[in-house]
Amino acid sequence: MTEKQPVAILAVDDEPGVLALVRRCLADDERVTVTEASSGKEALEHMAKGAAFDLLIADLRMPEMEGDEVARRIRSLDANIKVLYLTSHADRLFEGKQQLWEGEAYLDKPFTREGLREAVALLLFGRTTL
Amino acid sequence: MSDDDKSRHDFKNQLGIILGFSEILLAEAKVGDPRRRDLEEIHTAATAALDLLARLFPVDADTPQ
Repeated sequence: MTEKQPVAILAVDDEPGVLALVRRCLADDERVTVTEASSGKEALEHMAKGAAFDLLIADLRMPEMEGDEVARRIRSLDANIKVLYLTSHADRLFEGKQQLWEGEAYLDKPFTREGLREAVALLLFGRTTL
Repeated sequence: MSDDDKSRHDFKNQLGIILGFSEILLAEAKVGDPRRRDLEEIHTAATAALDLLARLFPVDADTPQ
């Protein structure tokens, strides 16, 4: 995708305050649309309705369905979607594998606005600014 | 995830929210804004609480993450 295109982000976290923070960090850019989901199930429902996203931002630790499982299921519907995990426990991402899949990255919690914006820009555009 | 792990994770999440929003507001507050000092206090306290959490409840290396 190019830098001038709109950016559609699906953010999934069971903590509403984290979703609000993600939106606050990104929503001042008018190109960026953030759709929120409070669970993996809700995220998959957005996909089932035909919504298309450039990036999935997912909390790694969530009840019922963890972030990497959400990402796996969403990737099966859209192989091109990028994935950014938010986690306090990055080691958990590397159980059973030595590196993340292509198009995946993680950001340690707690995160800063600049840190989140940089991670999103790197994943989507290969540069450090949105 | 054990109850202790979940509590630590949830508490850290809350501190992260306080830190994140206070950092944004600090970045947006103009020099000379009297609220800057209050925001700095909030940010400093949340940072200290995060450090305290890490010292009081370190992640057990044997605990699956």
